[in-house]
Amino acid sequence: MKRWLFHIVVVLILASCARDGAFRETGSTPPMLPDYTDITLPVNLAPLNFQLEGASALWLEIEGSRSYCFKTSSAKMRFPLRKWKEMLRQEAGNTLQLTLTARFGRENRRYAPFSWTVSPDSIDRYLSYRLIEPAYEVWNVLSIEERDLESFKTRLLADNTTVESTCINCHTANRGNGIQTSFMHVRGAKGGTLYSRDGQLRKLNTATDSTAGAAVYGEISADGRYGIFTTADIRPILHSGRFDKLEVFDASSDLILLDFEQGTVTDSPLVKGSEFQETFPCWSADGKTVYFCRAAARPQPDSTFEMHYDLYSIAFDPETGRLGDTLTRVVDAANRGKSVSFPKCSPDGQYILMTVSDYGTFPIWHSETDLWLYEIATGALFPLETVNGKYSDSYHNWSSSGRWICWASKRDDRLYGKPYFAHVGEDGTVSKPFVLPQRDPGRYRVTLKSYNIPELYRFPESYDAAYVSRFYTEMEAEKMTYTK
Amino acid sequence: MSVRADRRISIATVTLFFVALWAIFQFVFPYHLAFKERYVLFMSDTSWLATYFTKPAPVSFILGDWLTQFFLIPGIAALVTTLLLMLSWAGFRFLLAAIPNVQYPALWALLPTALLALLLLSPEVPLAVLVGTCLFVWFFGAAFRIPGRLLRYVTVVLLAVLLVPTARSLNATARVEKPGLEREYDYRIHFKANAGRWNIVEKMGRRNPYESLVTAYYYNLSQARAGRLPDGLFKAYQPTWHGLFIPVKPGVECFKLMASTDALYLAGDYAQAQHSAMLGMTFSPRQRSAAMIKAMADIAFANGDYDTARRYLTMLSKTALYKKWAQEGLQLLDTEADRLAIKNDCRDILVQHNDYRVSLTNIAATSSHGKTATDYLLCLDLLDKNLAQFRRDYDALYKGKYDAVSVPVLYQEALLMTFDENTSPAVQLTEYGIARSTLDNCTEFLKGNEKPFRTSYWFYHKYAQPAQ
Repeated sequence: MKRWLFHIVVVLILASCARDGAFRETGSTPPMLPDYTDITLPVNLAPLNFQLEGASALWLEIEGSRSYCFKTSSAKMRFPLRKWKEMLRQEAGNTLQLTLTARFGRENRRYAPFSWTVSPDSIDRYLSYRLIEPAYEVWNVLSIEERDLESFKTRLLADNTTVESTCINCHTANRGNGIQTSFMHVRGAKGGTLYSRDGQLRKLNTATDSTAGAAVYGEISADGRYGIFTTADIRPILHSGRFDKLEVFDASSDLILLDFEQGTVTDSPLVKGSEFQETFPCWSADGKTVYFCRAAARPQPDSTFEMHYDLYSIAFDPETGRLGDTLTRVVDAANRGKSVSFPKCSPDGQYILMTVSDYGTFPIWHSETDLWLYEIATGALFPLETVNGKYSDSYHNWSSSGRWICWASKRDDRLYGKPYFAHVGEDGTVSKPFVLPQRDPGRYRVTLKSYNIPELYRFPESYDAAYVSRFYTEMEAEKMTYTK
Repeated sequence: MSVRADRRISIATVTLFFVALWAIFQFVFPYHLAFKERYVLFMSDTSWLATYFTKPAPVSFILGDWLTQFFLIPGIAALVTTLLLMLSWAGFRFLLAAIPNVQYPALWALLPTALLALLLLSPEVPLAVLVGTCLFVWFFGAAFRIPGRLLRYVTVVLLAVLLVPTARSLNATARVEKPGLEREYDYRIHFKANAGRWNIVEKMGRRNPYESLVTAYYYNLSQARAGRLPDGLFKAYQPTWHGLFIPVKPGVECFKLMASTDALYLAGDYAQAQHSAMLGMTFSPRQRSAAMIKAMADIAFANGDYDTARRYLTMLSKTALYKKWAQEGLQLLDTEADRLAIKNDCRDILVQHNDYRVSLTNIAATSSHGKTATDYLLCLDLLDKNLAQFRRDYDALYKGKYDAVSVPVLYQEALLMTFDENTSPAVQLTEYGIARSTLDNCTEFLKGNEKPFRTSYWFYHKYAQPAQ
C-alpha cells in the first residue's frame, strides 16, 4: 500500500509541471516584464519575479544540472524564496535554459527558450537608493531605502518627512574590502554630513570659511580615512525643447579633500579657482590618484551648451594627505564634442566607468547619456553598447568585487530611473543588463517615484530613519577645520 | 415630553440636518468636494493596490480613493459624502447608545458628524477620513457591546491603539482650509475649463465677483483658446499680468500649481507646463493625481515624447473615468505614432522657471505654433505697462506675421502710444494698420472723455495700479 502511495505521489509531482493540453509555439522569447531573458545573474540574488500581461497561468521549466519547474495560476510569477536560493546555489556557474508557457484564455502559448547564466560572482548584498519624484529641482517627500538584494526586504535609511522636509542625498560607501565606511548628506538648517564607519556615526559640518561651501558629490577612500568632494554652486534650469526637461549647471565648483581622522579640510590651487570648474571626483583603486571632471569656466547658463568636461587626474599621497602638484588630462572629451561625468574606478584598478553626454555636468536628464568604459592600461574608451538604453544611463557604481555594476537607467520612459545591474567579466565584457527584481513584478509600472543614486555595499548600514531624525534635530555637528 | 414625541423630534432634526447638509454640498460647495478628485489616483491594478498596504489605514484609503474618483461626475460628490456621513452618524449613535446614561444619542451623534462634514469641505482632507471614521465608530460601538468585561476593555483599548496611527495617517499631510464662496468660484471655473465648457468659463470670468486671480486666469485662458486674448482682455477684471500665468514658487498651494499648467500648455510652453504638472502632483497631499498624470500625458504627446506618454496612458487606462481617453491614446500610439502632429517645434534654450518673457519670446520666434505665445507675450508687456518692450516684441514677432488681415484694437491702442513723434503720423498709421476709429477714440480720450473707453488700453495704462 505504502509503495503504491509513493508511486502515486511521484506521478503527481511529475505531472504537476505538465502543461494542460496543447500549446502554440510563438517562436519568440516571452514579452516578460521586466525583461529577464538571456541575462547573467549573481548567485545570491533575490528571485527574478516577472509578469506576462494578460496571461492567466504560467509554467516555467528550467533545465540546468537539474530540472526545475515553477507554476502559477496568475500573470505574475513569484518564485518561492527558498526554492529559488537552492536552485541558484545548485546551478552556480551554469547556464540554465528556460521555457515559458502561458495560458491566454483557452490558448496555451509556448515561447522560445531563453537562458540565465548563474554567475558564481556574488553581488554586494545591500543596495541603497533614493526614492524621489522626477520633479526636477524641487522635492516634497523623499526617502533613502536600503534593499537586501538576497531577498525583498527593505529598510528606511532616511525619510525627509522626519527632518523638516529637507533634502537628503548621496548615500555613498567606500569601495574595496576594507572597513565599510559611508557618508550621506542631510541638508537644512540643522543638517550635516553623516559619516558612518564600522558602526560609529558622526555628524560633520564640512563647510569652512576658506572653502566655497559644504561637501557635495564625492567619494570616500578605500580605507575610509579620506574623502574627496566637490563644493558646487548648483543651479537648475529648464529646457524649452521637446525631450530634455532639466539642465543642472554649476555656477562654480572646486574640489576639497577631507581627512575624517584629523577633522580637516584641505584643497590645492590646482583644483580650485574661478578659471576652471572641477567636479565628480573619485579615488583610484589604490587610493593614490584622484580622478575628476574639469572644464574651463564659462558664463552660464548662456554657455551651458558649450560646457565640455574632460577627465583629469591628480596624484594623492595617503601618507601626507596631500594632493600632487600636476594635473593630467586622462580623457579629452571636449575634443570629441562630448562631456564626461561621474567617473568611478573599478576596485581592480583596471577601468574607469563614466557617463558621457553631449555637454554639461549633470547628465541624468540628458537622453543621450550613456555609460562608457575607460581602460586605464591602454587608454581605450568605448561606450558599453550592451548596457546602454534608449535614454539616460547614469549614477553607476561598482560592486566591491568589481564583477558587477549598478546604475540608474531611464530607458523605458525617459523620466523614471530604475536600478539596473550587469556582470563585468574578467576580460571586461559586460553582460545584458537587468532591473532590480521586486516582490511584485508590476511595481515599476505603477510607481511614481524614481530610483535615484543606486549604491552597492556589503553590510547593512548601522543607522535608520529614526536615527537620522535624531541626528538632524538633536546632534551637534563637528566643525571641520581648514588647513593649507 | 413623551418618548414618542422625543423620537419624532429626533427623526425630524436628523432628517433636516442631512437634507441641509446635502443641499450645502450640492448647491453651495460642490466643487470643494469635487476637488478631492484632483488629489486621487485609483488604478484597478493589484500592484497599485499593494502600495496602499505599505501605509496605515489601507482599507479606508482604498475605499475612499475608489469613491473619490467618481467625484468628477456632477452630483456624485454630494451624494456619496452625505451617505457616508449618514453612516458615520449611525455609527456614532450606535456607539453613544452603548454608553450608559447618554440621552438623545441620535442628536448628540450629529455633533461629530457636523464636524466631520466641515472637515471634509477641505479638498485636501481625503474621503478616507470619513470612511475610516465610519469603520472605527462601528467597531467601537460593537466593542462596547461585547458581553465579557475584560474582553470588552481589551478590544476597546486595542481599537484605540490602532486608531492613533491611523488617524495620524489619515490627516497627516492634508491642509485644512476654511470653505469659502470665492474659493468655490475658483474651483468651479477650474472644473469648467477642464471639462471644456469655455462659454461658462468666459461668463464666469466676466463676472468675477470676487476679483479673483484664478478666475481672471481662466478667463484669459478662454480668450486665448479662442484666439481673442487681446480682444477680450479688458472685458473682464485683470489683476495686471498676474491673470496671465500663475507663478510656481515655494509656498504656492497645490490647487494653483495644478491650475498653472493650463496656460503654459496653451501657450506652447511645454517645458514649464510639465514642470508645473509634476510639481502639482508632487505637492498634492499623497503625491498622486490622475488629473496631473493626464496633463503630463497630454504634454508628452505635444512633445512627441511617446515613451513617456505611453507610461502615463498605461496608468490611466486602469482608472475608471480616464480609461476611455487613455485607451484611445494608446491606440493612437500603436497605430499612428508616425503621423501624430508634434506641437513643440521651438528652439531648445534654457529658461528659468517663471521667466515667461524669455520662454514666450523663444516660442513666438521659433515655433510654427507661436501665435498664442505671441499674444500672451504682447499682453504680458501691456499689462506690465512696458510699452517700449511691447513695441519691440510687436515689431519682432507680430508685425508682418499676424497683422495681414487686421490688428486687434488693443494692440492698435497701445501702438498709438508708442509712435515716434518725429515720423509722419500718417506713415505710421498706415504701416501699423491703425483704424480710423481707433485714432478718433484716442482723440476723444485725450480730450478727457474717458468714460466710453473704460475697456481701452489707454484707460488701463492711466489708472491701473500694480496688483497686490
